Amino acid sequence: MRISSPFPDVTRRRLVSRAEPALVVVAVILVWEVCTRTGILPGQDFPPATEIGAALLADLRGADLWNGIASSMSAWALGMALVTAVGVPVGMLLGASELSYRASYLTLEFVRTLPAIAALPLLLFIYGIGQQLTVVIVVLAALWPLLIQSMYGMRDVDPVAVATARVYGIGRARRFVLVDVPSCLPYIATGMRLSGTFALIFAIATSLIVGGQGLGAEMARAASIGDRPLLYARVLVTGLIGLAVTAALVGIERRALRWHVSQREQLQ
Amino acid sequence: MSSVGTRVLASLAVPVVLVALWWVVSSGSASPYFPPLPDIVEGFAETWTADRLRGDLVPSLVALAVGFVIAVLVGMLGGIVLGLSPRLRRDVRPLTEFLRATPVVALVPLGLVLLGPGTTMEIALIAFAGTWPILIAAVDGVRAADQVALDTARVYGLSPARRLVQVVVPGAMPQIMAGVRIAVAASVGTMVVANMLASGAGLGYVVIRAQQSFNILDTWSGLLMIGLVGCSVTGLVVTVERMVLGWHRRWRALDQRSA
Repeated sequence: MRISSPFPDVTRRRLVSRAEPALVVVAVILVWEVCTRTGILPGQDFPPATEIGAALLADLRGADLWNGIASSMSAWALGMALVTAVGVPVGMLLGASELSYRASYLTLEFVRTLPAIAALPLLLFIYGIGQQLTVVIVVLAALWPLLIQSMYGMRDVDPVAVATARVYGIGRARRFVLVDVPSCLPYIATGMRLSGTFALIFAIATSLIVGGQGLGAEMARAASIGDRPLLYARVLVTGLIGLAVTAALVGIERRALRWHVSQREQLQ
Repeated sequence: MSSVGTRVLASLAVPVVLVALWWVVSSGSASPYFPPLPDIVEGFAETWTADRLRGDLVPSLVALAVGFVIAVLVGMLGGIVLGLSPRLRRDVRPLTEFLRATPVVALVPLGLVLLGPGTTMEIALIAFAGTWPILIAAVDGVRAADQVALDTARVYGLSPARRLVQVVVPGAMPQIMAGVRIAVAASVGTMVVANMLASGAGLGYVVIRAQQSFNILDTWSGLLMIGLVGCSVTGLVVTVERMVLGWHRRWRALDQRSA
C-alpha cells in the first residue's frame, strides 16, 4: 500500500502541518470568546472576539484608520530611505579599514542600545508635532542596525576573493562592485530587516506619545474615548502590519542569503 | 594583557573625542535647543538631586530589573521548550510570529487600559518587550545543538535531563546572549515610552515633563541620564556575556592555538 502510492501519505502530512497551526489560531479565538462571554475574563476590559471583529470591520470602512496607516507608513518609508542612503555607505566605509572598525565598533554597539525615543521631547522643541518629527525619530532609531551590519559585511569580505581580483589586475573601483558589494549584500539585507522593524516601532511610538496623525495616535484616541473593542481592533491591525512588514523584509533577506549560500557552495 | 589594554584604549578613543568635540563646539552655542555641554553637565548635577534619584531613577531601574529578569526566564524556558519540540513549534507558530512582529509599543495603550498606570504595567510591558528576542534566539540556539556532542552524551548514557542541562543549554548560550543584548534595547525603549505616556514618575516622565514646561536644560539632563542607564545596562550584559561564554571563547582560543 505504502509502496504503491506514497503520495496520499505525503499530502496528508502536509495537510496536517498546515491544519494544526490554523486550528490553534481558531482555538485561541474560541477560548477568548467563551472566556469573555462567560465572564471568566471581565467583559469591560476584555471584549469578546466577535465585538472586536465588528469594531474592526466598522473601522476598516471609516477614514480614520486608513489615514493613520498612510501617515505612519509614509514616515516609515521615508525614514527607511534615509537610513539606507546614510547607513550603507557609512557602514561600509567604517568597515573598510581595520583601524576605523576597531575604533568605532564598541561605540556603535553602545549607541544602538540607546532608546532614540528618549530624544523625542527635545526634538519636539525643534520640529513640533508632524511628519518631520516622526521621520527624524525613525532615522535616529533605525540607522544603527543597518550601519553596523554594513560594517560587519565589509569585515567579512573573503580575502581570497580580494587577492584573486588583485591578481587579475582588477582595479579598486571594479573590485568594489564585483567583490565588496556582493559580499556585503546578505549583511545589508539582515540590517534592513532589523532596521525596518525598529523603524516601524518608532514611527508608531512617536504618534502614540505626541498625537497628531498616525497609527499610534489612532490607538491613543480609541483608548481615551474608552472604546475597548476599537482599541483591541487597532492593536490587532498594528500587529498585522508588523507581520506584513516583517514577512516582506524576511523575504528580501532570504533571497539575499540564498544567493550567498549557493555562491559559497560553488566555491567549495 | 597589553593587547587588551590597547584595544580598550582604541575603542575608548572615539567616544572621548566625540564628547570633547561636543564640549568645544557647543561651548559658544547660542541656540536655545543646543545649550553648551558645560551648562548641561552643571544642570545635570542640579537636576539629579538625591530626591529625584530616589523618586525617578530608582523606580525605573527596579521595574527594568524585574521586567528583564522575567523576560530572560520566560524567553529561555519558552525558547528551550519550543526548540525541543518541532510539532509544538509548528503549531504555535502563527501566535509566536504574530506576537513577535507586533510593534511592542502598540501594547502600551492596552497595558495602560488593563493594568492602569503604575509599576505593574511597566514591569509587564518591559517583560513582554524583552521576552521575544530572547525566545527566538533560544529556539534557534537549541535547534542548532551540536549533534556530535549530543550523540556522544547519549552514548555515555547521560539521561535526557542531563543532556539538556549539560549539552543543549550551554550550546545555545551564545545565541541566547545575543538575544539578551537585543532585548536590552527593546526593554529600555519600552520603559521610556510607558513612562512618557502614563507614569507619574520615572526616567521617561522626567524628560516629557521638562519638555512640557519648556525646560530645555532639564530635558537634556533627563536624556543624559537615560543614555547613562542604557550604557550601564549594556555594559552589565556584555560583562555577564563574557562570564557565561568564557568557556566558549577560551575553548575557541585553545582550538585556534592547536590548529
